[in-house]
Amino acid sequence: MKNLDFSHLFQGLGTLFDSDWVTVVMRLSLISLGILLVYLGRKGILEPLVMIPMGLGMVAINAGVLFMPGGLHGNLFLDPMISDPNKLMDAMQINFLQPIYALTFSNGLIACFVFMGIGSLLDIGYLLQKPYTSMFLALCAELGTFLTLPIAHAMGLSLKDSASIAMVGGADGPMVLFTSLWLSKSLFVPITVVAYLYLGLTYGGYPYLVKLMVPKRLRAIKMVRVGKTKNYSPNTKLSFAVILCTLLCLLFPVAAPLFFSLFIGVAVRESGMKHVQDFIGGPLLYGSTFFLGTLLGVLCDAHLLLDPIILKLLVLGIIALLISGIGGILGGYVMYFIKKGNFNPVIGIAGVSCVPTTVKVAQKIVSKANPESFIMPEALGANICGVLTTAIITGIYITLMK
Amino acid sequence: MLLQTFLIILLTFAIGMAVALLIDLLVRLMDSASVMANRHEVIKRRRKIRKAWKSNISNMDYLSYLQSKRH
Repeated sequence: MKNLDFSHLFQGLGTLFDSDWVTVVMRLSLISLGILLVYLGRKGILEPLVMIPMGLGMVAINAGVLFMPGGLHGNLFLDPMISDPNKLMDAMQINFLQPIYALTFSNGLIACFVFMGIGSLLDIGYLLQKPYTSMFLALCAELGTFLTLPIAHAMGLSLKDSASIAMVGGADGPMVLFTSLWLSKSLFVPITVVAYLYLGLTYGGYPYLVKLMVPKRLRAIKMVRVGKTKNYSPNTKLSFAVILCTLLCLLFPVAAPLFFSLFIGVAVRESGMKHVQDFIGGPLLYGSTFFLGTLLGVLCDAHLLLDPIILKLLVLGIIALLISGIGGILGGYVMYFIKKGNFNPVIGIAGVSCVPTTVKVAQKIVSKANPESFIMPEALGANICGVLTTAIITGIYITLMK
Repeated sequence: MLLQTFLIILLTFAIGMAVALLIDLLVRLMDSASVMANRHEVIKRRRKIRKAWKSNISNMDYLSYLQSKRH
């Protein structure tokens, strides 16, 4: 009791005083950022389902640093850099999130679970109604995914790393995770963290982009729907899911787990397996998203993010999302001219496959300009196609660059 | 690099539009299949009605025969 050392009694503070100033600043900034994310998530400005666990995880991992044997600093959450099986087994018995990380996150299983859940929520009837328009908009909204590749390469990143960060343009978290796991194992943690941080921002940021690019007169367009809206039977939708899954798996076996996960969700929904659908679209989807958010937060360790490449990734991530948004709206304009004014260009933003955030964003903006305008069916079609196009690009990138 | 990106864009557009074409074809196929199935169903139902009507007639005949016997 005589030699009471406060730095060892309160080790979170002790490690702060024991670190160099860069680490201290980084830890304090990340704690503040975590608190901000929780606040913004609670306010509904960012997606609460991911941002609240992520923010709290960020706070905990940067506050709960302790002295490890040998004078090193560490934590009891997880160590993402372990690759040796023996060390991994040891870590699994110490770090409480290590088993979830090793068995679900670092092999892409959690991404596939999220995809299954998304599949079970998708009504592909909207896509079947206007396949060409939806696909065209979705392809235009991938502009960021295409153009960020040469930009990142020009900024000094390797081709594989460039492809991984370019996937942020697809605005599909599980795809980014999957691609970076395949192509940039060493950078997949920061790339995924950057991707999810920005995906949370789409809800807050895209409305400004739309308002900037589309004047109110065009945002208020109420489309006249020619002919009767068709309702497709579950059998048609199921056949579509089976045929498309087969075709895409044949074309891109590397992305087959993603295609399978998406279409098994669709198949479950359309084949009337109510209990399974409830499970996949409820506990599995929300549980996976929650743990994904938690793990992403916990991965935001100051030491891991001190890598100078992070700054480049942050810049490239925002470039990718911005260009994709611009591409989507330009696609909307092209459709507006093709359909001689009977098309709301705002729908283009829904081609960015952040399901269903961009659809909500598009409908919200349009409703504000004209409460009588309803663009949800077209927006959902483009959004679903966006998921497909992002999966196709994932397959192309992995196949070409692995 | 730019040429590669351009080729990737072309490839993605080609695959994407091929998928859209496939969806369209599938939807048309399903539509015509359901029309044919409906027509088949109608024919089947008509046959059933005709059969029932015939059997009804024969039942009626039998009933009238019974009644005539009772008298």
